[in-house]
Amino acid sequence: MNNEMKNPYYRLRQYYYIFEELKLSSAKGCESKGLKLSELAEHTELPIEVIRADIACILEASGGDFCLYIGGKSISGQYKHEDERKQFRSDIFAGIYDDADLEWTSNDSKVMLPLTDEESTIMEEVLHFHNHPKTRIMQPFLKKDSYHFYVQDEMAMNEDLYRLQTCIKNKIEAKVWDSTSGAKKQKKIKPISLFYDATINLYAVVYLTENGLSAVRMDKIRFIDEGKCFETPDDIDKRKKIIPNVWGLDFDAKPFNVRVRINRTHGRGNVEKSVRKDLESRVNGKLTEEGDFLIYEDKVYGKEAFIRWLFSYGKSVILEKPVSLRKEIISILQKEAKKMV
Amino acid sequence: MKKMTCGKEKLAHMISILKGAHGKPVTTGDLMRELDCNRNSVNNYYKRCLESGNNIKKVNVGHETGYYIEESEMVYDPLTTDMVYKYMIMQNVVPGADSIKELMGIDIQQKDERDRNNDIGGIRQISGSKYYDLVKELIEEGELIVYDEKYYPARKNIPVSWRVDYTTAEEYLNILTMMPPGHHSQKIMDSVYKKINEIIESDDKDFSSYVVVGRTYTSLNRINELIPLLKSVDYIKHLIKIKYISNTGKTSECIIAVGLVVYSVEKDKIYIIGERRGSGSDVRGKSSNKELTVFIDIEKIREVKPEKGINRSYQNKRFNELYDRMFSISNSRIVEENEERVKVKFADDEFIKDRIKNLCEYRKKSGAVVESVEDGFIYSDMIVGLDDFIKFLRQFTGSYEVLNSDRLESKKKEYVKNLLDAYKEETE
Repeated sequence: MNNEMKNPYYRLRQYYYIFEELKLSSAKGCESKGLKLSELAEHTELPIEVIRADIACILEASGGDFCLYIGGKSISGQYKHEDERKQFRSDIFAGIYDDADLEWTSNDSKVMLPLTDEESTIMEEVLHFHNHPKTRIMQPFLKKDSYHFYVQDEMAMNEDLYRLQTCIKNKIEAKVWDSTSGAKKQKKIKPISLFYDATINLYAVVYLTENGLSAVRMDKIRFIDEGKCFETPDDIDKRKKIIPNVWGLDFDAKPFNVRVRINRTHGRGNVEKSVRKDLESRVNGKLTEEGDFLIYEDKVYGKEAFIRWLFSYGKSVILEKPVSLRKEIISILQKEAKKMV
Repeated sequence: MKKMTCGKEKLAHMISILKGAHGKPVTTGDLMRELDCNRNSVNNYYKRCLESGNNIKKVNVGHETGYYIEESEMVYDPLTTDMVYKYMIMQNVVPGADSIKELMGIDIQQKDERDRNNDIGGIRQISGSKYYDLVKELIEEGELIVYDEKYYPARKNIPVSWRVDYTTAEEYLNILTMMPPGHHSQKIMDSVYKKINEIIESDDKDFSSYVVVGRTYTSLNRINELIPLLKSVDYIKHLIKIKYISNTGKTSECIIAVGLVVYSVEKDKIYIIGERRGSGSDVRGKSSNKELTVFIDIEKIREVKPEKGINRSYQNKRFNELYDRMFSISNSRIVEENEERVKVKFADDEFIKDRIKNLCEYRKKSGAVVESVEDGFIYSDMIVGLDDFIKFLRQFTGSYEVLNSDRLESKKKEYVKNLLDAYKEETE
C-alpha cells in the first residue's frame, strides 16, 4: 500500500485519475459507465470504509458532477435538508451503496496529465516556470548545473530546432541569422543533421559545405525562412561518418590520431566511470583496457575542445600521441608554471 | 488560533492529536479541552474515525477513557468538503494557467450571478466569498506561493495534476519531440511524452535527425523510484535514519534532517544534503552546528527509516543559500566556512566568454558578475566548494589567471605542477 494514500488529497487525485481514464476510454468507444464503490476499493487498494467516507464528501462537494446509480435511480448526494444529508451519509457508511455505479459526468474539456512530481519538476524546468527561489519548494529535488550551457530561451530554440528538422527531412535550405563572432549575418545553409553535445548542453546544426561539413551553434542563430530544395552529394554518408569524431564543432579542423592513457585507479574508479560516460558516443574510437590503464584511440577533429577535455581530468588522463600535441600541452603548462612562480 | 467550527475540522484535528501522541492514549478530558467540545462529541468523533477507516483503539486510563492509534497502523486522514474544493482550486493553478487573481475574478462574478452552468474547475457549490476564503487559507497553509503577482502551487500536501486542453497538450508534445536523445532528463521526458501521447495519439518520437556526442547520463532515470522512497518516510517533515555505504566502504548509519535533495548534472548523481542529528536528546529538529552537514550519494543508501522528530531544515534559508553558493556537490563535507570570494581573469576567447557569461547567468543568485576589461574579462563570485570550481577551471588552463584568492591560486599551482610532472615523467 502506498503511504501517500494516507493523505486525502492524494486519494482525491487517484479517484479523479481513475474517472478521467474511464471518460477517455468511453470517448474512444470502449464500454465504461462507471465504477462500483467496491470496485473502486479494489482498484485503489483502499479499505471500503475509506472509500465510503471519501465518496460521501466528493458527492457533496462536486455539485452533481459525480452521481451514484442504483436500480435506475440516481443519487447526487445533494440535499437541502440536514436530515436527508445525515441519512444519506449513514446509508453510505452502512455499505448500502457499495454496489451502486459511481459515474463522473463532468464536461470539462481539459484532460489530466498524470505526471509524477518528479516529471512535473522536469517539465516545469523545460517550460521555464521556475525563476525564483520561492518557487523551489514546489520541486521534490533541485538541480545543480554549473557545467552546462544554460539555454536562455528553450521555447524559441525548440521552435527553430523543429523547423530545421523539417528542412533536414525534406532537404530544404534554411535561411538563418548567424551571430557567430559578433556581427549578425544572414546566410543560407543546407542542414543535414541536428547536433547535441550532452556534456555541455550545446545544440548545433550541421550543414553541407562545398567539400565537407560545418556546424553552427543554435544559440548563435535564428531561423528565418525556408529556401529552395537541395541535392545531397553522393558522398554524404562518408561526410556524416566523421561527426562522432568532431570535438567542439570544429568540422573544418585538420584531423589527428590520438592515443590517450586513463588511469583506472584514480578517484576510486570514478575517473574511469566518468571517462567511459564521456566517450560512449565517440563510436568511431577504440577503448581498451591495459592493466591499470584504459587506452583511448581515435581520430580527432578539433584540437582546442579536445585539450579542454584532457585538462579537465588533470593527471588522470594523459595524452600519449601525437607527440606534437603533447609538446603543445607541455608548453602551455610550462608557461603557466612560469607565470605562477 | 483559528476556532474550529466545523465537525469535520474537529474530526481531522482529533486524528492529528492521536497521531502526534505516537501510540500513547489521549484521555477524553484532554480531547474535550483540545477540541472544545463535550464528552458525547468526543465519542461521536471516535465513531466517525472508525467509519472513515481509521483503526482507533479505546483503553482505560485510570478512571477515564483513552484513545490511541497504534503507530504501525495506516492512518487515513479524513477528507472534508473544503478539502475537495481546495483540491479543485489547486488543479486550476497548473503552470501555464493565468494567475489565480484573474481566475478568482471570473469565478466570483459567475457565483454572484448564480451562473451554475459555467463553473470553473467543477466548483459549483461555493460562493465567491467562500472561494476567496479558501484561496486565502491555501496561501496561509503554504500551498499557494505568491510571487510577482502570480500564484504558484507549492505541492506541500496537495498534489497538482496538470490539466491541459488539447492545443496545450500538442504544444508540450512538440517541445518534447525536439528534446535530444542524450539530454540528462531524457528518460523522464520520454515518460511525459508517452503520457501525453496516450491522450492525443501522435506519432512516436523521431530522433533520426539528431547526432549526440558527449556524456551519457543515467542517474536521473531513477529519480521516479528514489524520491518516492524518501517520500515514504516523509523526509520533508520528519527526521530520517539512513544506513549507507560511506566513502571508506563501511556501512554507516545516521539520523538526518534533510535540507536538500540535489541532482548534480556534472557528477550525474543525486545527493541528500542535510544536518546530522544525535540519537537522543538532540533529535528535536533544533538548528544544528554547521559542521554536521552531510552529503550522501543516494545510490549508496541501503535503508531509510522514519525517525521521531520534526525536520525544520528542509529548504530553509541556510540550505537555500548553500545551494545558491555551492559550485557543484563535493563528496566531502562542505560548510559555509569554506565560502570564498573569487576573482578570475579569462583570455578574450569567444567560446570561453560564452561559457563564463552563461555560468554567470546561472549563478546570479550567488552574486556572480562578469566585467569586460581590455584584454579579456573578469569573473567574480562567492563560491562554496573551491575544489569543484578548480575542477571547472582546469579545462581553461592557459587561458585564465586567479586574481584574488590565495587558496584558489595554490590549488591551481598544485594542479599545473602535478600535470606537468606527469607529462615530463612520460617524456623522460
